Amino acid sequence: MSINRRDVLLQFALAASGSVAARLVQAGALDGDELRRPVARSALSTSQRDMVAALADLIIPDTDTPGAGKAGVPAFIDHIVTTWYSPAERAIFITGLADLDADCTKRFGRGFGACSDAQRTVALSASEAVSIAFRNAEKNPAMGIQGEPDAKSPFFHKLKELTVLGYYTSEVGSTTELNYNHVPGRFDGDVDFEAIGGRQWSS
Amino acid sequence: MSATTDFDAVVIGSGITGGFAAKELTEKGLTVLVLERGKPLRHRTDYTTEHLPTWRMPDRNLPNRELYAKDYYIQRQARGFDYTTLNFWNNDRENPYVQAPDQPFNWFRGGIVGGRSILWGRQCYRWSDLDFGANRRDGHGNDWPIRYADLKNWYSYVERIIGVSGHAENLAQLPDGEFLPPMAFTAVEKAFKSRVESRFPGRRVTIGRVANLTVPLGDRLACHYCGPCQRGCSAGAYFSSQSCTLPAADKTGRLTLRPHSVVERLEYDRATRRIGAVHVIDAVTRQRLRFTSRVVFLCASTFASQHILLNSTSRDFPDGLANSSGTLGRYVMDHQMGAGAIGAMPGFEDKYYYGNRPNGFLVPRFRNLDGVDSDATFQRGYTIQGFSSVDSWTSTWDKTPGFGAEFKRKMRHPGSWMLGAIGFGEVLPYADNRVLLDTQRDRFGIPQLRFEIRYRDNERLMLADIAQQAKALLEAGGATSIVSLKTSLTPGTSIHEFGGARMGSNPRDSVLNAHNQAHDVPNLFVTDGSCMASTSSVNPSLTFMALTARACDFAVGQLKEHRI
Repeated sequence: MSINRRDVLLQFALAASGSVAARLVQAGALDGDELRRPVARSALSTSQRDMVAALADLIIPDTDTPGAGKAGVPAFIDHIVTTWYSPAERAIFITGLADLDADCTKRFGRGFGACSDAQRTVALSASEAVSIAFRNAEKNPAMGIQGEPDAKSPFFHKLKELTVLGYYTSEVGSTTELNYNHVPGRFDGDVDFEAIGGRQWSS
Repeated sequence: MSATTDFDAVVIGSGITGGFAAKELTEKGLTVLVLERGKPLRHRTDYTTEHLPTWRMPDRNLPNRELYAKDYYIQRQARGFDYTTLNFWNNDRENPYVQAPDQPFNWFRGGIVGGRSILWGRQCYRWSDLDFGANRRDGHGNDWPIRYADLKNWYSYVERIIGVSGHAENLAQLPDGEFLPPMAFTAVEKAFKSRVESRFPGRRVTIGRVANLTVPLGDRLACHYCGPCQRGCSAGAYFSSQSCTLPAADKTGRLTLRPHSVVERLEYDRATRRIGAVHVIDAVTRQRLRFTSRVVFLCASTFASQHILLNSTSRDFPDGLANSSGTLGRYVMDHQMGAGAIGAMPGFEDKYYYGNRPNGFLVPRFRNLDGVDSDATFQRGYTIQGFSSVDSWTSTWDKTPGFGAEFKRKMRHPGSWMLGAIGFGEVLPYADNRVLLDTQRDRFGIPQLRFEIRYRDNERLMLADIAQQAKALLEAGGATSIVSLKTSLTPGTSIHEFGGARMGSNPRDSVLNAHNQAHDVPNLFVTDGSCMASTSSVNPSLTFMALTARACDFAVGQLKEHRI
């Protein structure tokens, strides 16, 4: 490990809430990637995590291929919301979960967790309408997906963005739902879409 | 060759030109020390993100906001910068430079052995006499001391070594080279080419000429079309110092490569009127070292080389080494690339592609070919580089409303074919577009380099023309929903850097002669982009390499004749 690498890792470790990670780094016990932040306590409660898992599968369900849940998307969303999001983005996301839950109660007399899939779909569609109106009113919104995301975008947009990103970059999503071939071996710029299997390349 | 110096030659820099100089000089029998400021990067072994799937990347390759803001606030804007190439770029916090007020400049630098040869775009084009004669024709800058005929055989020599795939077009403004088989067009590009060429008989659409092998060359394998070359290529399918020139130099047994070696200054020996020694600070240990050689090849990259010369002051050269002309650091240029157009290409909904072609298409210069076109308000010219691509899930998700099984089914299909065309425009040489030493110092105590570079009227007028013509090309090519782009990009963004120690016949207005040898210091050769007296409108690296090979041949001849 180079000096630079150790410094960077150490700084991240020290910035983390617990000092366990920092001690591990100093002891040379952590050989993690310098870009991976130390695992922190989830910003989501157990019920919020359950809600995220249900929502991810509502957006990308099991079909003839596995859906978001089986691709590990809920854990990815938890990780990004907890460790990568800014406090403002995290607040939009967590408030959005609470608002969706409250909206379910208002519409159906029960919280999101007790609603049927049909009821959840109605509530989530209402949330999407708010998101689309917001995005349409924005001038030059950030494009997201591995670039800087639109920090101000509403809950639904963030939820869908993280679900899509988490799913289509996962091993399951890349290799079963889309087409993955990291060493094509040749180039042909004029092939029929159906001839390569009727699924777009994952990257 | 010499028992009185540490090495026959010191080469400063291990990138495109430094690597080439190392190969040429060692193969001609010289012992060579290559000094590289950056850290080691071993071929194959250190390409740790090559073929790495996104699911193995931290945060799925989302930008590391804190790290990028703290350490890569300039480099993060470079093409190809992300987790997969992070360790190849310079750390901005550790390597600061000064930007004049209201004159931002993006200095994108490699921080590794091989330099930007690992990260480059690999486009390779010969210059023509339209380019070498430009300064003389319109009076901007000084006349080039060479013409195409001086470089023609050296272009061939370099192309055979590095491997350039492309298609011969027989155009005066873009001479053909020694090409490996060209890469294929997409269905969209084939249609675009035929429509554009029939609508504009003087214009040509050709596949990019690129230093990626389409057939094996020596022990380097042909491209396997994985896509992101900049992560490094274990197959050696694209040209880099690691895949080609450094191994060749190493094979001679005469190469010594020293990473972490920051060149502080060149010591001038007034008795011999030669460089007496190269002063180095070890970036890790901070140890100070001094190396002697019979000849020095300065190949540190355009601005880094000027930085070293400006910091090499002496009683004889108080304003920088080899600067009796006073032009050192002046007439610096880049390519402006803020204008173009993008549009959708309907009619290809069933078409797709197999493999990731690391290359696009090129529309060779078609403006001001014989002086200035009657409808043009600007001087010089530009080349259009373009691409066709299919919108992928990364962008279509946000345009596909809804969620659930139907959303998932739609996302299985790609979006529309898009066609983009971006101009690379000449920037004129101006005396007061310059770099100089600042009063602030870096971590080694070396004065930081200060950039004072801005675009002027000719650049602005050309930019408007590029936007207009790119739109016209896309319209002729059958694109719809065309969006014209005209943005004032920060100079430096193209990473095509030129000038500052320009070549010329007259020692009073240039730093280097026709062989890249300093007028003032016979054992100093500068062969990177700083030697350039103008920019042409095509990518410069091939010309840098041809000039380097030519200068090495000349220098060794001079050494043998004991002239230096």
